[in-house]
Amino acid sequence: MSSARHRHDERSTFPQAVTGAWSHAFERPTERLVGPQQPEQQRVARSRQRANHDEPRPLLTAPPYTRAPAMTDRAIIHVDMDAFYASVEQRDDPALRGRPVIVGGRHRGVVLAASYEVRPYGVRSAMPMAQALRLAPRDVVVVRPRFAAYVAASERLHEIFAAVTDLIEPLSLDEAFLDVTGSRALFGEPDAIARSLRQRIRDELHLPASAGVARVKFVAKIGSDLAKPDGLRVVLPGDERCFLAPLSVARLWGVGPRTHERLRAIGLETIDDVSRRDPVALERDLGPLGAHLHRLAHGLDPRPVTPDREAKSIGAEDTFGEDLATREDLLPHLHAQALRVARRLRRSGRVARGVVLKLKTGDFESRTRRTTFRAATDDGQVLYDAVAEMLAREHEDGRLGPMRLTGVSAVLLEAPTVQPGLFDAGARRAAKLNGALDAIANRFGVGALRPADVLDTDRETPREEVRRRER
Amino acid sequence: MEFVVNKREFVRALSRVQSVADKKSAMPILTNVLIVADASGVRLAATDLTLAVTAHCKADVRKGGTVALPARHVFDVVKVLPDGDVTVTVEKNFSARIKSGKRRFDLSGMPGEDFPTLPDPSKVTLTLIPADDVAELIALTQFSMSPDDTRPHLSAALFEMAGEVLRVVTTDGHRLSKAERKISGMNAQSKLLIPAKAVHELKRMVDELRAEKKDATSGPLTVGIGAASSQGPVFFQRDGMTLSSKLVDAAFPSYEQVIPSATDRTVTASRTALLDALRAVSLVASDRTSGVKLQVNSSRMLITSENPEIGAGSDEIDASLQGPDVTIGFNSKYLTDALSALTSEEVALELSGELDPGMIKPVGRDDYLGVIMPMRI
Repeated sequence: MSSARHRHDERSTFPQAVTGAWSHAFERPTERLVGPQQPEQQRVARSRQRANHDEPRPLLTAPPYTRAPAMTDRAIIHVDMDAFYASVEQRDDPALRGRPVIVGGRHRGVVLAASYEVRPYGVRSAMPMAQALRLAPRDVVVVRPRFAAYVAASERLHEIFAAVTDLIEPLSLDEAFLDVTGSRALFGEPDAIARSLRQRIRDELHLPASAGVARVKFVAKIGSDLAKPDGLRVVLPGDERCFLAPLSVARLWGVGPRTHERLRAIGLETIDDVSRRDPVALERDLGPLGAHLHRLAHGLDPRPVTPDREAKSIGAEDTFGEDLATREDLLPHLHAQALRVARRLRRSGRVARGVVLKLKTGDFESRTRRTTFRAATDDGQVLYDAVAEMLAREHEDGRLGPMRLTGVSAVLLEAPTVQPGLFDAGARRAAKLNGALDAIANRFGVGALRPADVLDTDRETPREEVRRRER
Repeated sequence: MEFVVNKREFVRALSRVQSVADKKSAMPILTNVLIVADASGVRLAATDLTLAVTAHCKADVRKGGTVALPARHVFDVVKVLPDGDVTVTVEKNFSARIKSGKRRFDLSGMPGEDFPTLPDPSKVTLTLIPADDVAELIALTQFSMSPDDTRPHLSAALFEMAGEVLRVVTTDGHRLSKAERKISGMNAQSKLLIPAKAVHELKRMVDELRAEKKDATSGPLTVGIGAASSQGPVFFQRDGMTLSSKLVDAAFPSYEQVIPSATDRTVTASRTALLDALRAVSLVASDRTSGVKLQVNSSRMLITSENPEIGAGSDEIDASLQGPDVTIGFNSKYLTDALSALTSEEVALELSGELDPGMIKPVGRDDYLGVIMPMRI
């Protein structure tokens, strides 16, 4: 099948005439449309936007739905918060708004997030703080990370996502794929859903988010990347190839620096170059990766959006502003991560038979350690006790240097047992407690009630507090 | 070494010891039965290092000595010998010739001196307990020992002697059985955690004892029980046979804590009717969970089971209920195991909430108590 014919076929299977178009005209300058626009669709979209203006809940205004979408009509939204940690800091401290802000550790640290005010100077996240401070303007403000605040925002974000679909694949605190294929009947076209999500995030979280909408995951992700900051990018079904064509091959999923070098060596600079290449030749040059890249270059990505309830593992990890050396410094972070993972386990209705501790040193050496449980659990304290013990063993080995990152993952996930044990009174009490804590978190926010040691992860030193008040 | 022994006596003695020999052991000597011939007759022994058994049989010993022979083979060949006198001779190279009539086997053995030294009961005070009581206590509790030998504290039975009471408690973590008998004249205080394999061998010992002596009038039907110290080993003794076992070196869960002190509801039903209905309805229960649902009102119990892969089943029996109506799920096997071990006409299920542990008791007796954790349904 020629690619032109292929594309035509896919367009014709997309129920444009039925569900209206995915393609409204976008009036906001940051919203860009790729692909042909049809006057009819523009008109429909404008009138719908006007109508939406008067509606308090734009999510609920949807066109009549008459046909179940086929599998080929998947609609995926990738939502990615802009400079997430920095935006939360600017939101919570008016003195920081409009100013260049870097979140990270001041000494020997790395940049965890850079606000858009400081990016023109070349400051990027993951950059060593010393280098960032050399680049940044004199009025730059360096803020220590407050992970609990980011987690709280992330939870609210998840609630907003959950209002439109249950097919949510969280990639990190501030980034997720949403499959809204089945949500169109209720909430309208994917681009309308994306717009409404961004609006709710702006209204309720007071944070900027970018979104990409496409038929497949990796195109949606590139879409949100290109839409940044605070933008929306929609790639219509059938337009994937033309959208991807001018982009660098480095954007293809699976292309790291080394593959990028090899692609360049055989004369492939853009995704268009890859898509025009004979797939047999690509496979000869690059092995199975060649066939994979060729499919991606044509906008084909079969990966489904995998919600937590179907995932093989559920994990949380944080990169610290500065490397943490002592166990006392690391434990509160592991505790917070274990609690986050456990909450997601409970939300997905599953229990874990194992837990993995991930550690990454300042010089990017990674190691993981695993513990399995006799009785599967969704209790954060059990996960935490296990990772704390693994960390203690690492310390005994004496090989533990300063850490850049820790992560906690629940693995070997399964449905909760239907047969509780006689001697599980402790676990039953924990389950009751967790139920109560979840209810409090649902009502008052996830930060409303926290263990005291986790509070420490955000503690400001008195000097920092003074400095913040003086700003 | 040379002795002549009656074939049936020899088979009986071999059968008492050969099941204890560790046929898969990495130590070759443990796959053997030790045979010792001396003036008192022939003594057979086997051990897996946790459990040890010795059995005595009368024999005409012509020349004393000792040898270790492969447990399975010696048992198999002696069984197929013609009835009558069996002659066993062992040469210097530990090869045993076993002969009866014209049938003859040569088995290569190992030196008896290589066999581990077995615990010696001679200095231990044994408490005599009627074999019937031991057999019944085991029958009422052995099904709820854990089959998982990586959890030795649950793959065991707790024998508690408190004054005149002998109590046996077992639990696999989901259910618990507690049975007790008053042993008149007993006055002992001890707690022995006995591994499952030893419990099964003890059961074999008392069952054999009861079967043998059923029609005979001679000899007391008792088993001697005693431990060398609180660390073990524990000994069980009958005429001509001694079983010894190490104790489990782990704490039994504090079982008293999981026995509900009070419940909201008591359901009474015919034991056999309930057992029959549960066996029938659980045919369509999931193999993995064996879940059945009990719905009880003041006069009836509805038993249902549903399995998306097979179908559904239900039955209804007469029952009386004190307390509010109740719906509760159980693993049917946990109920049927207890019901088939009991002998009473009626049983009582004492229940509280649908996720609280329930109790099963024989009506009119207070010597058995089962605790069963319900299932989520």
